[in-house]
Amino acid sequence: MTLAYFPGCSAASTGKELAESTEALMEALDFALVEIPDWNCCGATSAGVLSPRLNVELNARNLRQAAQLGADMMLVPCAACYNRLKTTQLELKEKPALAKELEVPAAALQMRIVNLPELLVEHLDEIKARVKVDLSHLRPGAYYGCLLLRPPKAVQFDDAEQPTSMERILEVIGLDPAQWNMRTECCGASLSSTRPRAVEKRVSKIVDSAREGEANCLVAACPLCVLNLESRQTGADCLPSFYLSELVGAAIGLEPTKLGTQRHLLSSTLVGEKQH
Amino acid sequence: MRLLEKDKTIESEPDFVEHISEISGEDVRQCYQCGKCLAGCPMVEEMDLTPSQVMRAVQAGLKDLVLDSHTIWCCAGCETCAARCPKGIDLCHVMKALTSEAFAEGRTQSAPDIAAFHRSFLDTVSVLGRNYELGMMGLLKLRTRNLLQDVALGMKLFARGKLNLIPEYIKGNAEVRRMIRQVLDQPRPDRTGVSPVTTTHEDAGETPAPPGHGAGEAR
Repeated sequence: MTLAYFPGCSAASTGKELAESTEALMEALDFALVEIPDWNCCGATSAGVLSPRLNVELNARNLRQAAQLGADMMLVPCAACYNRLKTTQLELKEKPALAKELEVPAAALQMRIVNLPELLVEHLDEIKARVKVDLSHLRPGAYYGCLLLRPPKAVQFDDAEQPTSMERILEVIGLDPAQWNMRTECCGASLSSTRPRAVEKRVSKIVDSAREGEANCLVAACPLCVLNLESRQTGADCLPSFYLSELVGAAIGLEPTKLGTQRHLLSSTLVGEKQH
Repeated sequence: MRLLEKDKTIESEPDFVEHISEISGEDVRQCYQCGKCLAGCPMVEEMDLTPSQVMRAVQAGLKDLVLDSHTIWCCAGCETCAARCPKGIDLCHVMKALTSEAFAEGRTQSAPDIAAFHRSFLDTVSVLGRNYELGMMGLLKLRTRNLLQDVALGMKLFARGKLNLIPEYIKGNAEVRRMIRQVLDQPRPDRTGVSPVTTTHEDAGETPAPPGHGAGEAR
C-alpha cells in the first residue's frame, strides 16, 4: 500500500529517531512511503498563536502539495503536524469558499490523514505475524499526550479521554502495558523553552503517575512529548522514553541502530537488558 | 489569579465578543461559566486569569484586561478544555484569537519571552520554509538575552546527531515567506515607549516577566 508521507521538521532534528523508526517499520510492514514534494512547516503552535489564518494558509499549501501524489492516505508521524493538517482539512471541508480561495483541490480534502498508532492498530494481524523478539522486560506506560487525540471533533481518533490503541498494539507485540492515570495529560509542549519550570512540574507528575502504574519506561508517538519527557525530567533515576515505532520495530526484529534508538537522551537500551 | 482593584473603572468594548467569536470561529457568548476548562487546565498555575475568567471577560467586552493578561500566552494549546466543554467551545481557538489580536496591537508585554519564541520560530520558517532549531534558538536567545538556558541540552542533542549545522530549505520558500511576513511585518502600534523601528522591543524582554517565570532563569 502506498502512503503519502509528511515527515515534519523534527524528522531532521529532535525527532530523528521517530522518523528513522517509522520509515524502517513501514518498509518491514510492506507500506511504501512517498514523501510529499516540497512540504513546508505546519506552523506548529507558533503560527496559530500569532495568526489563526496563517496556520490555515501554511497547511493549505501542504494539502495542495500532497494532492499531487494522488494517494488515498497520508501518514503523519509527528503529533503536532498531524493535528495541524487534520484540523485545517476539517476547517476547509466546512468552509468551501475558503478552500476555493486557497486553491485546495477536493482530492486533498478527501485524503485520509492518519497518525502512526492509528495506522498500526488497523494492522494488528500483520504485526503479530512478524513478532520475533521478546521485549517482555519492558513494561511501557503508553503516553498519548494531547494532539493525537484532541480536539476530538477534528481528530476523530480513538477515545479522547480513555484511548486504547497504543495498549492494543503493545499487547500484540507481547508486552503488558501499564495501567495508569495521566496518559492523556499535556507535557507543557512548546512552553518548554520559555517556562521550563512549569514543564518540569508537568513532566514529573506524568512520570510519577506512570511509576505508580508500575511502568518501567514510557512509550509515546510525539517528538515534542519525548523531548520534554527526556529533557525536563529531574532527579537521578529517570524513566526512559521510546517511540511506539521503535518498540514495534524492535519486536519484529529490526536492528535498534536502524530504528535510531541510540539517539535518545536518556536510555538507548531497548533489547535484552532489564530496565529498572 | 488577579483580583480587580476596587473602585477602578474598566473600559468595556461591547463589540469585542463578536470580534473574537468571528476570528476564533467559536461562539464565546455560549459559555455559561461551568468551570470545566479551568478544572482540567494543565497550565492554570501559570495564569493570572483562569480560562473561564477569560471567557467571561471577553463576554463583558473587557478587552484590555484580557489582551494584557498572562493567561492567553500561557495556554499550551493542549485542547483538554475543548474536549470537555459542555457547550462545545474550543477555548484554544479563543486563546489563539486573543494572542493574535494582542500581537497585532503590539501588546505582548505580559509575556514578552513567549511572544519572542513564536516570532523566532516563524522568522526561521519564513526564511527556509521549515523550522531549523539552531536558527530559532539563536534568534530567541538574542531577543530574550537569555544566553545560557538549555545550552547543555543543545550540546547533548548535537552529540546525538539531532541538531544539524546546515538547515533544510524548500523550493517554495518564497510563497511561505510571503504568508509569514504578512503577519510578522504588520504595522503595530508602539505600547512600550521604545522605538519600534530598530528593536524588537515588544517581545525582547523590556518589561520583565512575572516573578518565578522563565525569562531570566538560566538552567
